[in-house]
Amino acid sequence: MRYPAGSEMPPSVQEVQRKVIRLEWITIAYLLTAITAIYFTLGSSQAMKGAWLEDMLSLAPPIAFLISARVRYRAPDRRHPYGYHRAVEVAFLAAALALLIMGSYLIVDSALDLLKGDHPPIGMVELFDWQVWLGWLMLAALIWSAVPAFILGQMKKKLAAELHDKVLYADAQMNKADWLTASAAMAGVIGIGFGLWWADAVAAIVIGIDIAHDGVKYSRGAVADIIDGEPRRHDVEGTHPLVAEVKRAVAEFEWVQEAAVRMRELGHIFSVEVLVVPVDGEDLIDRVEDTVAAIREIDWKLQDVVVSPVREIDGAPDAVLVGGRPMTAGA
Amino acid sequence: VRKVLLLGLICVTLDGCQYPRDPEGTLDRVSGGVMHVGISESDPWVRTGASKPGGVEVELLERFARTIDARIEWVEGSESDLIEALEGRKLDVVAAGLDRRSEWQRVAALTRPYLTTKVVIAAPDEATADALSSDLGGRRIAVEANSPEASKLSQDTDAIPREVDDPAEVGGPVVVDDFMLDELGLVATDAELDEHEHCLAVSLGENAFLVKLERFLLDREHEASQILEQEWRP
Repeated sequence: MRYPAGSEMPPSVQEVQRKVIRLEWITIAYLLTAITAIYFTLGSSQAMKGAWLEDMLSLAPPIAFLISARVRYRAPDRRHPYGYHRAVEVAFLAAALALLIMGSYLIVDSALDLLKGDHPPIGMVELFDWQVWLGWLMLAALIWSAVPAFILGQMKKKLAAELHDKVLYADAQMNKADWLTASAAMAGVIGIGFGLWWADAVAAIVIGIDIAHDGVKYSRGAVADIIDGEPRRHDVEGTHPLVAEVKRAVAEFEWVQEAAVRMRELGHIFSVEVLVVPVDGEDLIDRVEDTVAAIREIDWKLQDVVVSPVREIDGAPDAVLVGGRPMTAGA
Repeated sequence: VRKVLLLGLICVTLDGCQYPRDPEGTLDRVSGGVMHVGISESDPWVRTGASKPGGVEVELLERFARTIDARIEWVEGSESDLIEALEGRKLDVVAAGLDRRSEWQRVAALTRPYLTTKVVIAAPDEATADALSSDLGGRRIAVEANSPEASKLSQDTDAIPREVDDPAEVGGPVVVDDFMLDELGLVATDAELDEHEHCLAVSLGENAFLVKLERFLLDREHEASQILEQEWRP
């Protein structure tokens, strides 16, 4: 039997993966331009500050994706016998916590400004020989922070479904947060222009809530992965369909009297452990190896598969048990 | 959002409606009315001693008031008192020789600089200026006693400060503002001690008023330096 290797993808998935890597590089280049544009028009607007923070944090998912795209291929070695699959989860948790902290900071900071009754000043700027109200430049920068982010987010969402990739999905969600944030900030700046001094702080609070909400959601997702929660769909909504598929496949083997199937995520791939109570003790080695091969056939994500025959299974939760053929005499 | 943007663009191009607007309506109140201006002594930018205030900023504000048909009421006070009154919207503008990089920007809206001046080390002739440009070490340089320039000179350079009452009246290398060079017949060295971005302060968030004043100032950088030449005399 082959020792579980690094992540290997079928050619069709590899093609998508290459496309995504290109898309992520484009995203990083684009975000850098958006961050620069907003930095130079920041002024003293809270909402602009929020949009700026959000854009900077959006760099985390694509960077995490690109790093993990390299690290995940590394073969297991002495120090990391399970390979490097879970490197990506560390990045995912860090990004999620950053979102949570930044969102909370923005809410508190803007609420204080609102309570103090701070009126944000937006004056004139001179670009070469052209004089313009800074508010217009802010709006231009925000449009640049919104429209491409929207398009990139839509593209990634589709690809994330094809790849079943959680980091990519989080990245797509991040792009969605980007353009929502930029829109809220636009409303704030336009509001200031109409003499509504509170519009900016209110927009910033709305943005802060959205960012913090994402942060909570992804932190929970990341923590669930780290404490070996069951594999979930790429959009973190419900159990991954492969869990049911593996259980069904195991239950169908003739030699399986009863089995406990445990699955967890190792970054992009799943680890599968099956404890089997065999119907009898014949050809155990062949049966185990055939079963491992059959499970690995199901999907490319199922690369780390261990099947072990046992006499009996005690105290396993019902949900992981499959099979349960009536006990035959002498088994 | 797009509709609002379009409306905004139309407004700006036609100049028909005010955008941005003031939350507290300063521009509307001041136009054709009274503009309360706080002033604090800072020669040559603001002079308060005489019966009528003078200085570069006072002159600029008088010209600005004419463009919006406002009458100015001058209020004298210390810089911090004036800023506090501005924050409470009891004043519309504060002129006190402020620098755009001052700490006040947290409590007041500082305008774009109407003029940027430099504090330089100057010499009476080219040869001395060249020598000073390459090395200040151990050179005696005259500087106004007990001034911020004197502290900068001793902290940032290895020259020996020679503190005098009026640097304009002594011969030899001296620390002066760049606008004094021609009048005093001095040559600037490459050594710049400081840069000042001169600005005025208005209440936070009164963006229509701020934009009106900034437009006025941005159009008149040349005028500002002309006024400075008249106002400053050795």
